Amino acid sequence: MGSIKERVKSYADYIKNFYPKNFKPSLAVVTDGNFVYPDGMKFNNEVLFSEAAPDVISKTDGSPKFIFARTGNTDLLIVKNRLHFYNGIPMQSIGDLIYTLKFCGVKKIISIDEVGHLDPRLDEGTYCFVHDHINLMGDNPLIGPNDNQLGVRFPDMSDCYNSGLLKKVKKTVIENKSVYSEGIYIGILGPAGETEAEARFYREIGGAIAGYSMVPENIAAVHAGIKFVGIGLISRHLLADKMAEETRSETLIIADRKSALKKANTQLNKILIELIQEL
Amino acid sequence: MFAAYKQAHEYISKYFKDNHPIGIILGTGLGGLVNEIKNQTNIDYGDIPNFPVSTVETHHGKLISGKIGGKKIIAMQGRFHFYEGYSHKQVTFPLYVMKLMGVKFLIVSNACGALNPQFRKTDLMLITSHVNFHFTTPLMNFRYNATPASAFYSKRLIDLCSQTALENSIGLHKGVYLSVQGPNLETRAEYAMVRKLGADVVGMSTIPEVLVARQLGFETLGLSIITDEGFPDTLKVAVLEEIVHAAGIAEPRLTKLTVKLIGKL
Repeated sequence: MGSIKERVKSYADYIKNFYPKNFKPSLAVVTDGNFVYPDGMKFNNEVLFSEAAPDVISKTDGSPKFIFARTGNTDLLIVKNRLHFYNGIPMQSIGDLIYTLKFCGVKKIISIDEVGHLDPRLDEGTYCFVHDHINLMGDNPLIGPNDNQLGVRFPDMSDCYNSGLLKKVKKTVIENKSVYSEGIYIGILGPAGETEAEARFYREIGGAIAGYSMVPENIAAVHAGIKFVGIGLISRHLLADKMAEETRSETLIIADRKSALKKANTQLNKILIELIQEL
Repeated sequence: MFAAYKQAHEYISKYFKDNHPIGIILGTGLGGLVNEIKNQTNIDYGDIPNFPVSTVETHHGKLISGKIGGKKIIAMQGRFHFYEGYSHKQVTFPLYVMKLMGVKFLIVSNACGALNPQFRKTDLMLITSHVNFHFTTPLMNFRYNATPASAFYSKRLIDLCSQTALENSIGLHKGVYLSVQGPNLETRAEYAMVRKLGADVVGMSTIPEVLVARQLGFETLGLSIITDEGFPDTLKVAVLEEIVHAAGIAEPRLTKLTVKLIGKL
């Protein structure tokens, strides 16, 4: 089955046509559309994934944007406005996006996802690194025939958030006098919010944070041999007892979430460039 | 759907005559059982109308009819997995055909990772119960008219198998099998979670077949070969060759156990 490789390589070839001169990215940063990038990043041009892969996503359905960027001496590929499973995008398409990055030359991915925290020691408005995950999404990009040219049939997941990279991350964060947190990420479907019973369940099975988008990206990346760093931007709490006593209106909850996300984004930006250069 | 089963059965009946009371799914670890089947004839899955085709390297793709211990058996050499992209309905298609062939007992085997710290690579485990983590079921819109069996895993067969193992000095654990979708192996956090949920071993197959088997009224026996260890605190990188090697070591024992058991059915 060579078809997946052929397909994603054609997407990558299309995108590489737009590369600035001497652009050789080995790192990609994958974020939502609302992520604000740190000052000090230089952006060159950009191309929509929908142009490279019209069968995967159309412009009107909210296409990811590939932005060619640079910080210091490091070229990087930014994928802004990632594909979300909860939008009805098939897992295979999310896989395609990650495999496309592989053929763009990417060897490491930093995936930044909005999460709620289950661990009471974490806080809204901060970020948390991911050292492992539990997939409760009921699906993954590898189901179906395996393309042996992309990866093995049964990928090992014992180090799916590369411990070597995580060591470097920890060192960098601490050297920058920021707080280093890490935890297990629970991959859930969304987009509806979580119930108290669910929050208790996710905590019970070992979760520190929960989100909707990182897990399929990680599985496809591990399959393709790309090293993966996961960062959760904590925008809300999922503390069951606190949820039971919620008195805020829905409007206020959403507003709080948005401002917490912004705060976490800003906090992360204080060290993001440093991180990118260290990895 | 029924017409599809009938068509497949009609084709098979041209080559496999008579009633076949015992059905066997030769999952990992039971491959060697093929050598114990006397007077065997076989049909390629590809030749059978409506039959799915196996895509995994270590599974073959033949339906085998023959005798073990004087009893007529129908065996699937090569099974279908959810992670290959088949629906649960496709994975379980052959069971309906087995029903039409007169199957009353189903023996199914699989390879799995140990979660129970008392289990080791190459051990055998008898399945007493399972947890379905496929987030789907083959029983949606199940219309087949049959009386379901009283248990997913027959207590009578569990006792019989335990007894047989004892008589033949074959070590045999008993425990709970949990099936994830796969094909990726589990993360440490996932191994820890499924252990917490009460599973002794984790694999990627078997449960869809067992769900249908029960609905069709089969007495079912599930046997697992432990090919790797999923202990989160000491997790080693899993190597496919080592997994296959471990299965190879356990195979003769499992084959012997199954042959002796069939003799008692």
